[in-house]
Amino acid sequence: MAIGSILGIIIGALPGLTATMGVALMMPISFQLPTVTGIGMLLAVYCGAVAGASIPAILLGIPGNPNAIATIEDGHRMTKRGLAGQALGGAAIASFIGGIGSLVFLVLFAPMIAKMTLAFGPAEKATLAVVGLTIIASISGKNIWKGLLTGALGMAFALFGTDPFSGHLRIPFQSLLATTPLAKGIDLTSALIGLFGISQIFIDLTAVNRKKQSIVKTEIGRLFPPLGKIVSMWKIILSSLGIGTLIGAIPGTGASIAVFMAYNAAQNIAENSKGKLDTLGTGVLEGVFAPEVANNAVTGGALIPTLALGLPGDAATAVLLGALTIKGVTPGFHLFATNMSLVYAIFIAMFVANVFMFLFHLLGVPLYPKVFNVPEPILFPIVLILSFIGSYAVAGQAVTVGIYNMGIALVMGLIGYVLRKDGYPIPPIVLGLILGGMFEENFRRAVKLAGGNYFTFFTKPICLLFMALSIASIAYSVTLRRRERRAT
Amino acid sequence: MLRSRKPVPIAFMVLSLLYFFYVIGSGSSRMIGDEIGGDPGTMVLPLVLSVFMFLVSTFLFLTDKRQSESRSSELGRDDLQLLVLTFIISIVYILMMRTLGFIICTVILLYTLVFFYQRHGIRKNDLSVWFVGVIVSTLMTLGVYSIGRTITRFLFRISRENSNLAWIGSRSFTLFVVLSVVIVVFVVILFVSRSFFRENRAGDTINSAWIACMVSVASTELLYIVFRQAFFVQLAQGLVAW
Repeated sequence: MAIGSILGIIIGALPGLTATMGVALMMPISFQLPTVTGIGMLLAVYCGAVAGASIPAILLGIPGNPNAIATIEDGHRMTKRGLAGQALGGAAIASFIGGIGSLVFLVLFAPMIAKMTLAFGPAEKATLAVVGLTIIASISGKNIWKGLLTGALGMAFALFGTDPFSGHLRIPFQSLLATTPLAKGIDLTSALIGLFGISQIFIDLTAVNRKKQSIVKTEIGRLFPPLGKIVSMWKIILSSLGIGTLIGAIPGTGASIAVFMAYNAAQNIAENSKGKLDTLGTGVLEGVFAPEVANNAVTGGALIPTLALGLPGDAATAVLLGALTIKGVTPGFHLFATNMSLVYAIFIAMFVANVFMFLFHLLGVPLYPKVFNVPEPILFPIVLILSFIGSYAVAGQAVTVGIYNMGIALVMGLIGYVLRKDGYPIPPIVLGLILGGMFEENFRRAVKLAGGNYFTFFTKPICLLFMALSIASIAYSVTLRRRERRAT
Repeated sequence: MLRSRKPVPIAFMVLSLLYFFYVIGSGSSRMIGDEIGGDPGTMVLPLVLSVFMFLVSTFLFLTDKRQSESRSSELGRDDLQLLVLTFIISIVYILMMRTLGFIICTVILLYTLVFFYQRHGIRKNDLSVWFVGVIVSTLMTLGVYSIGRTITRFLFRISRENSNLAWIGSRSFTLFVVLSVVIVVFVVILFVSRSFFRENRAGDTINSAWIACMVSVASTELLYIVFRQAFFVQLAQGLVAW
C-alpha cells in the first residue's frame, strides 16, 4: 500500500495520468495479491492520485487532473508569494482530513446516505449539473457573463461527437471526421491539459525573454501552516467535508463539481467571518483547504454507492468496481448482509491508504519546489512535452487516438491562450466539458420519463432547490460585482 | 467602433451563428426505440446553447471595451517569434509523430525549444549551430535508447531461457536496470562534455546548444522509460523500429 500511495501521488502529479488511469494500470498487479491487499493497493493509488494532483496545480498552475482545478486559484498565487511550502503542506493536511473525514461518514452513515441518493433521478442530476456550472461561472473571473459564455462553450464541446442515445453524429465535415477518433468526442483529459497546461506555457513565454524576472519565487517558506490557522477554518473544513462526501455519494458525478461547490461555500463563509478568515482568490490557505478537503472527501463518498449499490461514484471507483467483481466480490446489499468482515477490511484499507498518502505527500514537500530552480527556457519545453505525452498517454495502446488527443490538447491550448488574454475564465469550459454530457443525458431522460413535459423540472422539490441555488449564485455574483464597481 | 472592441466576443458571435445554422442543417434524431415519444431529440440543447452564446457574446461585444493600457501589453517581436515557433513546431511534432516516431520527434522539439528559448529568439547566426545540435542530439538519444533496448531484450531473453530466473524479465527489474544504466551513461556523457562546452571556453551560442542537447537527450530518454516501460503506453515507433 505504501508503494501504491507513492505511485498514486506521482500519477496524480503528472498531467495526463489520472487517478482512473492509475487504478486501471495497477489492476493487473492487484490481481496477484490477496483480495484485501489488492483492493487496498488500488485505494492507495486512488487516494494518492487525487491528492497528488494538487502539486502541479500549486507549483505550476497546471492541475494534475480535474479534481485540482479549484486549487490553482489560491494555491498558485501562494506559490507566487513565496508560500509554496505552506500551500503544499496545507494541501497534504487538507487531503488527509478530507479522506479520513469522509471515511468516518462512510462507516457511520453509509446505509442512510445510500438511501438519500436513490432520490436523485435524471431531473435532479440535470439540475445539479446546471448548479455546478452557474457556481463556477459566478466565482471565476470578474465578469459572470464571460464565465457563463465559456461554460456554454464547454457544453458545446461536450456535445461534439456521437449522441449517446441515437448514435447520431454531431460533428462538422462528417465525410472527413466520421472515421477519425473525433467521432467519439473530445477527450476530456487532453482538453484539460491543453486549456491549462499548454495555454499557460503560451502565456508565460514572455518570461523567457525577461532575464532577471522570474515567474515565481523559489523560496518555500515554512512547510506547515500554523495550527491556529487550521483550527480557525473549522467551518470551511466541515462544509467542504460534507459537500465532498455528499457529491461523491451521488453516482456518476465525481469531484469536479464538489471542489467548486466547496470553494464557493468557503468564499461565503470567509466573507461572513468578520475578518477572522482571509478572502478567497487572493492566494490564501482557505482557498487551498476548501477544494482539497472536498476532493479527497469524494474518495470516501464515492465508495458509498460503489459498495452499497454497485454503482460507481466516479470513474476511478468504476474501475475499482470492476476489480471487485473480478475478485468475486459482488457489491450491493448482499455484501453488507453477508460479508461485513470484507467491508470493514476495505474501510481499514482506506484508512491506511490515507495515512500513507499524507505521509508521503508531506515527506515530498521540500522536494517538489526544486522544479523552480530550473530556468524557464528549460522548464517550459519540458512542461510542454509532458503535456503532449500526457494527452497521448490517455489513449494507452492506440497510437492514432493518442495523436488525435495531442492535436486536441494543442487546439485547446490555443483557445485557452486567446481567451485568457482577453480575460475569459477557463474553469467554466472544463466544467462544461465534464457536465455537458451528463446534463444532456439526464435532461433528455427526465423529459422522456415525463412524457415530453419540459415542466417536470419545476415539479420536483430537489430540482427547485437546485434551480434556486443557481439563480441565487448568479444574483449574488452580479450584486457583488456592482458593489465592487461602485466602491472603486 | 470595432477598434475599441475586443476580438473574442466577435469571434463568439460568428461561431455561435455558424453553430446555429449547423445544428439546424444537421437536423434532429431521437432515442433508439422512442416510439411512444417524449425524447426532446439531439437538436434542443445545441440550439439553446448557440442562441445563448450569441446573445451573451453580443452583450459582451457592446459592453466589454478594449482598455487603452492593453495595447502596451501586446507581445514584443522576440516574444511573438517564440510563440509562433512553439506553435508551429508543436503542429509539426504532432503531424510527424507517426512517421518519425516518438524518440526523434521529441528530441528535436525539446532541443529546438530549449535552444531558442535560451537565445531569446530566432537569429540567422544561430541557425547553423541549431542544425548541428539537432543532429548530435538525435544521434545521442538514439544511441542511449539503443543501449537501453539491448539491455531490456537481453534480460527478457535470459528470463525466457531460464525458468528459475523469470524475475529478471519482470517489469520492475528491467525498469530498474535500464534506468540505472541510462543514468550512468548520461552522467558520463555530461561530465565528459561539460569541460569542453562550458561558457568560459565555448561561446554563448555553443553553450546554449550544449545545454539544450543535454536536456533534450535526458528528458526524451526519461519520458520513454517512464511512459513506455513503466506504464506500457504504446509510443509511436516511426523510423526507430529496433
